[in-house]
Amino acid sequence: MNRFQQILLAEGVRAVEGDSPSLAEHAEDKSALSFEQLVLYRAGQLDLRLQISPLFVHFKRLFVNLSFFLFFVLFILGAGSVQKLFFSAQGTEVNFFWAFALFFIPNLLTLLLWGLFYFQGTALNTGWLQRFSLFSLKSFEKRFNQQSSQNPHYWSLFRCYFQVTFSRSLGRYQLSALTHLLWFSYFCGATLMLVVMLATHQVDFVWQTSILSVQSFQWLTESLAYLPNLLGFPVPTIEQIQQSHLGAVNLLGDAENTRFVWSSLLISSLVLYGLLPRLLLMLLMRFLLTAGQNKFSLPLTNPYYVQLRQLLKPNVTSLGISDPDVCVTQPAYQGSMEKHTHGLPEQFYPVAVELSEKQLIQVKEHIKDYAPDYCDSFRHISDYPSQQKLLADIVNINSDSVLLYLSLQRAPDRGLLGFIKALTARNNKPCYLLLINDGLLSAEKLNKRRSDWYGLAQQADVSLDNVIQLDCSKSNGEAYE
Amino acid sequence: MSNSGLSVAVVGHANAGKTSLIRTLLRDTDFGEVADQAGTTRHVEGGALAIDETKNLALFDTPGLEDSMRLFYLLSTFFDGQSVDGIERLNYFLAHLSDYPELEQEAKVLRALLNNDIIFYVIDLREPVLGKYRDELHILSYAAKPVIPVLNFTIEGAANLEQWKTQLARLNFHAFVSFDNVHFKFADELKIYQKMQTLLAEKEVLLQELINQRRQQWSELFTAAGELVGSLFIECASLRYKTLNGEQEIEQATAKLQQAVREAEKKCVRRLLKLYQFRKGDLENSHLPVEQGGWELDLFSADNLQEFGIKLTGNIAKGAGLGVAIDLVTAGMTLGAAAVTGGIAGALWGVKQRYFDEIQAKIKGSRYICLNDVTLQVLWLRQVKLLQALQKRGHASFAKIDYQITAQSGENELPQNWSKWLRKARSHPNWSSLNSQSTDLAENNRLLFMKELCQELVKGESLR
Repeated sequence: MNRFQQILLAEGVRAVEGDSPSLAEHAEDKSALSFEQLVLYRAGQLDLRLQISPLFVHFKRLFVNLSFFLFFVLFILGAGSVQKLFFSAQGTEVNFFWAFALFFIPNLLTLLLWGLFYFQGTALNTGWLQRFSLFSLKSFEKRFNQQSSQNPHYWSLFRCYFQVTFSRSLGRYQLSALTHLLWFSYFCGATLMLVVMLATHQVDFVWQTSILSVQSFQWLTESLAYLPNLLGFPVPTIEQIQQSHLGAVNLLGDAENTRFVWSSLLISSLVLYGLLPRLLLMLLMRFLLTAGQNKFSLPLTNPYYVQLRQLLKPNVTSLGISDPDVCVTQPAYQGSMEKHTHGLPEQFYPVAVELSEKQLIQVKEHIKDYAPDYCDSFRHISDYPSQQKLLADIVNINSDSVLLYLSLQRAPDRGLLGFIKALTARNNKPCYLLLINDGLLSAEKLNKRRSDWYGLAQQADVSLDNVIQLDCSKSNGEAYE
Repeated sequence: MSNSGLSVAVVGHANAGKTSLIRTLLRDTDFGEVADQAGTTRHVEGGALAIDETKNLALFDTPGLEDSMRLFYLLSTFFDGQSVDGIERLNYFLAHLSDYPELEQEAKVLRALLNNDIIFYVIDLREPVLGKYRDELHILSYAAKPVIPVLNFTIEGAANLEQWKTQLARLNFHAFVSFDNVHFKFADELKIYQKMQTLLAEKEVLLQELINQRRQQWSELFTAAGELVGSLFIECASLRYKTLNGEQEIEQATAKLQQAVREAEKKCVRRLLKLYQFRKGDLENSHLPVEQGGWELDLFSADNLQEFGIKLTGNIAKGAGLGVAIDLVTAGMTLGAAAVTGGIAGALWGVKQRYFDEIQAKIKGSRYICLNDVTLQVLWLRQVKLLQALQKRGHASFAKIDYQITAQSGENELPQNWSKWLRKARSHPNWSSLNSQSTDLAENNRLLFMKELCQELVKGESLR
């Protein structure tokens, strides 16, 4: 199976799977392969189960058979048209240029049409041509293949096969090769029949005109005969051309030779101007088709392949846990979230802990109202030295209780827990936690954070009744609501 | 230092967003544990971004430095005030860890600092600069490793930015980056790697490879997402159902059409979420449309359309999906023009393909119904909004994605070529696989049209 066939198979799997990769294949370590190689390998594996490739072989055979059928039809048509020309000719005289034009002009016109489609394919709306081709193939298949309804993916694979083999430039090459093949077949039939007819019939070639001059015809014949002459085919001389004019008296007396050279010119013209160009173009298209197939790549930016990449070759791997936790963690506070507090103590020593500047202003306002004695001397604990200083001084502070101003929105950490624990352990005064709510948290988050602080209070031996909330999102501070 | 790749220790205070940062960089919603409380991560856990077959960028998540003040105090008291390098102090502490069991979590962070090539220090900008954060930065400097301070929550904490910048500069940390886990910007992710390049000159090539790869993947992802949205538009705009002219038949066909469109949108949304590696649960009310088949955000509901700022007439409210008769006059003119100009066989075949069904339907007393313009507008704008949300969403976000369209100004801007697109899509019913007819999903013109739609999405300012 060559690379293009593998790609075709991968596209077949995509057609079966639909929008996103869903089929699982045998898990094997293929980490050394690139993503595209992995896709092709996966397609090969899934093909064993889905049996896509036999269907693709069948579709290929269908196309080849259809091409051969058309080849045969065109061969007969070419042969038939020559026979018709000779039988319909009056008497034994054949108008040479008319016979040549009948074969050559339609060929030239279709060649121009082909060129237009080939080089301006994107400018022209050829969707109908694609649909028509697919419709013809499908009708043919439905009519002659009764097995088509047995495989549930038959028609999706049918569509996929022809979409891929006729996609992008491949479609142009395929259809062009087919076009040239058919014309080649037509000319083969025509040339063969011409040889047979000329071998078994005696005809005189003449030319005639109503509006053109004799010189024009001489020039035309000489031009036509130039290439055959170069290649060694016998062609009519100037005298023979002049003597072949309708109604001219053959002064040369060499009718047999004249018939021969005109026959030779007709056959060689058919071969050189009809059959050979089509053969060469067909070979060129076959070459381009093979080259195009070799260059063909999967549409890896398609959403299907982007998802498949995430599955087959994820660019993220887990490195696992390298330094596990062996400590037993303290369970989070599970108690009631109902109001615990009785409000602020009547007298307290205020301490701000790790607050922002804005919060400090709010705290100052609060202290002014509730502990005016400490308005200018309250402490803000924001680093290790200030912590240690407070711990050293706390026993000497003359106050009934200690009130810690804390930020409710901050998640309490072990460092803070250690500090508050040390504080409660060093003095026998009740400790209060006043949580400043800036109103920045949603109700859900607020409950969660409050629960965290209750957990800290429990661990630091602070009564839950001593946890107070100061709501600064409102104009006036108030206790826990 | 690792020869085959690069390893990063992601450290910071508790609840600063370390795990969220790694989740977003890895696009992995399952990495570690994320919760809004301190001490959620209690072990060192790693994830790696593959750069090529053999090299990767390893990111190690660490517990929060919760008691940095005590740790820093201890580190500075070692060696009796002698002038000793910070790294010696760290090693001394780790060697005597059994004396400080309460600092076991901090010890894990210190080990991570010493074992990795570079350090990301995650800062919660919402927090003021406190002594404990200064102590954390001092401890990091002891590790003698390049440190990149990563500023998280940049929008909510914008007021503290200058204060933090000043503090970082005072401690000689000048190469900081902004990376908001909630409001993710891909450009910010690249800035992290670029900053790493400047600090790790010997890994510059490797990091450039990573940057290129991430760019390519991001671009591929967006292109694929654009294709999905473009494809949904084509599917729905090209969709039409044939029905008899009776009121009941039209209603039945309308219901069928609505259902088909809802299913198509659900499918597209599901695929977009999967593509960006988010979970179905990340979607606002996603359980309704995706899981239970119901639609709270019903595309066809009167509320939805009114919310969008559309006045409903009685007929529209009744029919919702709307029957739009195909313009036979246009068809006739086109046919006439085609007849006059003669046309070649292929052109005639094309015209036949386009209008035969409509003419036949007209003769037989049938009609075709398709989606009305307004519904298509809502559908398009919803997908664009969803795509914008996915592009800017971190993988640790808890907030639900809301892609409902509202009447807010500036939000509901339709592309310039909207009418042209609509005409084009409606004239190609064979482009919609929702139609019972055979479809040409790979047809060249459909692909070109899809590319045009994708380009429009890329062009959108907010999606860059």
